[in-house]
Amino acid sequence: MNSKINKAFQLSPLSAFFIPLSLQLGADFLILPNPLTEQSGQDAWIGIMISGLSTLVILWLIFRLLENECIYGRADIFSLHQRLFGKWAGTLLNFIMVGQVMVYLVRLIRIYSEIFQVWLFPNLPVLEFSIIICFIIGYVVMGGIRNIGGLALLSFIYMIPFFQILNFTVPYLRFSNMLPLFDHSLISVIRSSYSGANLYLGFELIIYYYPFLSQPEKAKKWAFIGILTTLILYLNLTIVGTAFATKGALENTIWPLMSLLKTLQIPFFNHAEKLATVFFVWTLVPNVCLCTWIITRGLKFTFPAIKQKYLMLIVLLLACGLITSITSGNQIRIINQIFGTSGLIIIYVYLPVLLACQWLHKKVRKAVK
Amino acid sequence: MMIHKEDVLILFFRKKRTDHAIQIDSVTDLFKKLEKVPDFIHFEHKGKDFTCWISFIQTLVDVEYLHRDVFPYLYSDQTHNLTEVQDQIPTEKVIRTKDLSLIQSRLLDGYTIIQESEKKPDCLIIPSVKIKGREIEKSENETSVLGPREAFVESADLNINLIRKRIPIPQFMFEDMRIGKISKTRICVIYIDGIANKDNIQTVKQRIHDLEITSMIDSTMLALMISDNNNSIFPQFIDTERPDRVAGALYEGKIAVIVDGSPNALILPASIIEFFVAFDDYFLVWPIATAYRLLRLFAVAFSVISSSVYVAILTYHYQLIPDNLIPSLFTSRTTIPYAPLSEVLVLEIMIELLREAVARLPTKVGQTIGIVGGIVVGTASVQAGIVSNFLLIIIALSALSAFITPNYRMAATIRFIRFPFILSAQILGLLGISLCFLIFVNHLTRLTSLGRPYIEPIYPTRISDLKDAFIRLPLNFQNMRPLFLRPSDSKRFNNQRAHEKVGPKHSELDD
Repeated sequence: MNSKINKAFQLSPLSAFFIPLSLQLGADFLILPNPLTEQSGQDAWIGIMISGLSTLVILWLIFRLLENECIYGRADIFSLHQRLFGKWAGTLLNFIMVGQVMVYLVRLIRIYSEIFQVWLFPNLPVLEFSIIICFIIGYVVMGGIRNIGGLALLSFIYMIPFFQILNFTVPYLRFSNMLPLFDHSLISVIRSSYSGANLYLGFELIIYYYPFLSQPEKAKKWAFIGILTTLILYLNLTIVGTAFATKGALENTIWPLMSLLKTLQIPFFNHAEKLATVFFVWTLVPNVCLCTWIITRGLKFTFPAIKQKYLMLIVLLLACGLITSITSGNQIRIINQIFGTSGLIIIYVYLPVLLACQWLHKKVRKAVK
Repeated sequence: MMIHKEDVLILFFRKKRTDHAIQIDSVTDLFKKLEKVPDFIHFEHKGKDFTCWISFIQTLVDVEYLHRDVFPYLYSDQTHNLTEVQDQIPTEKVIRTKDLSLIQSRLLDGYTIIQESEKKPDCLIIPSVKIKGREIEKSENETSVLGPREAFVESADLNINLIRKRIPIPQFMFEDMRIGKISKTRICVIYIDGIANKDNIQTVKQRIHDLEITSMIDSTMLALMISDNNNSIFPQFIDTERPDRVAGALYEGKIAVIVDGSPNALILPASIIEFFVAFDDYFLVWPIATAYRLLRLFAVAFSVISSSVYVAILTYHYQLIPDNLIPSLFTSRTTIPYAPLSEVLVLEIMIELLREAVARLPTKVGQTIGIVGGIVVGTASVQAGIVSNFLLIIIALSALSAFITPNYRMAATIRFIRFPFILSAQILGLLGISLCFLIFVNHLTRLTSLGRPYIEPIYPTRISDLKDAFIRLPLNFQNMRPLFLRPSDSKRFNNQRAHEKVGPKHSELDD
């Protein structure tokens, strides 16, 4: 495979800001601060800070990994695997990684279909919804990664007014809810930051599309700024969430942000939260498109003979089947957990190990020479 | 009776026959073809020691000019051969040629051909074209309160004159091309050398050159044929009838294309923002111009989604209706036996019918129809209980908003995309509208105009181009030409000096 990507198909460095941001938001911004308050109550904001800062370290690590790889050809995880572990083991690892992205894709569509069912469209059939989404994914991905980058940018632009709702809640915030500060043990804060780290997942997908970023040096800066933006946004959401509702109220809600939206009064319409769900199409589609793109790319890497569009057809059909097979809310939680754990293992354990392997490989080679 | 083999073949290969009819092998052949044409004049002039054949098409040439300035030199007996004629005739650009295709095309353009002998292709071509067409009039489709009023006419030369007098520099360039296998229509590609991007010029010329057509009637037809995506409902090039707009675009580094016989010039490439820009925005102070642009943008958004939101809310999301509105909406909806979708479709189609009828009818009748349709049919349909008057307001407003778009073709697109939105609202409510919007936006991000991204200042993001997009900053802030065009010379003027000219700022308090 050609190691250089044609400049016409490359993303602008700014995309390294929008794409990770959009991927991180996923569907997680809706459940904040719930997963953290379970462990650390009003100190949830410390947990989200810790996990956010740790993702910054991981991102630095990922960039180290990819920049080291640049001299050997195409700097993505697929080529890296094949180079380090040989053809068979490399392909196996590629499949595992692709499988994890597939879980991300399925989970995202299924979670959103649940959100739409609850908040906008009670009779929405999951199969119909997933088929429509898959058609749209097909249409978007056929346009290539630049197209996906464009949608990610637009999703950022459209989410700006959405997040302005946080400003309207200011009069209703009771910051006394957040007192006493630092009331929880270190263990429970670490535990809450562990569940907070789940929410940041998605940025690590840069290991798949890194070669497509033009001017990687600039892109690196933007990627860090992107994660910082997510950090600030999550921090805001956590503080607003904990200051707006009591702990007991939070325990009984699944999507605190939606409940918060319910209190909002807007002109011309009742029920702002129903209107706000319309925006969620924009946090859903760019992400699932990028996932599909990554999966088809991974498969194409393994089976270069098959055209990417046919691979995409297979992937989308499979995704449709998987999405409809998840029927109950419990199963959604399970797949959520699978995704969270596998993602955390990949970024906190596997990628550092991979970096070590890369370093060892280099040393051994030098020694052999 | 004998049937010739050739005749049979001709029956089956019609195309070949027509091709054969156009193909001309010699001058005699050409004259023979034209013999039957009543306005073709072809005669022999016999002087004392000079004989020549003169041929022209009477309806195309300026006969008075020939009598006054050409024939006297032929008849004066001072000339003995064509070279002398060429030297003596007081006309510039007299061509001597043997090229048959040139002779043919020039003859049919209104030039006069002078030969020494009828059978030989060696001849003089004397320009004697009669320019007669519409007077330059006010622009009718793109009217404006401020600014120049002149509009293009159907003659390419006159149109170039209109542009050229606004750009009095030697770098003003245009290239003539002939396209159309039969029509050989004249097409001019106009640009300013040194500002316009060379790749863009090359692309335009290449695309026009590669066209496989027989005739070209209008520039809008050309726009459809050379656009990047022929199936897209979004126009990719701007067509305008205002020379001032073309001149402004040329100064920015764009390329204009003029087709002989069309009162519209094409401006290429174009980004989507430019379709919502009225040229008088530049004649207003920037806060007002910005306000109007934003108003236009809002109008477009309203026009596209208002009726579909009505369908979605009344069909699925009635919780969204505010409490105060429920009584009035309920009273206007109770008598209506149809679902919101059919109600909306009836009214939308009625408005479209009206618009189409008014566009096709003569102006005076059109006005009457407009009044009849707007007032009588609208009120009557509300009273008859087919549509609710609430919907009538929405649809009327959205129709009005669609007409705010300055470009006619974009306005047609805006009106058209309402229908997919309405249908998707019926299928999936607000979610359907959102998905439909996403599909259209995705189409736009994929679209290119002359290879340049169509929604350029937004994606890929170009901050300097955003200065003249949704908002229009003061002109002395716009020191860069649009990056979208990748102009050869990207700087308009020195930014620092532009700001200096305003003069040092004095506070009145300090004086």
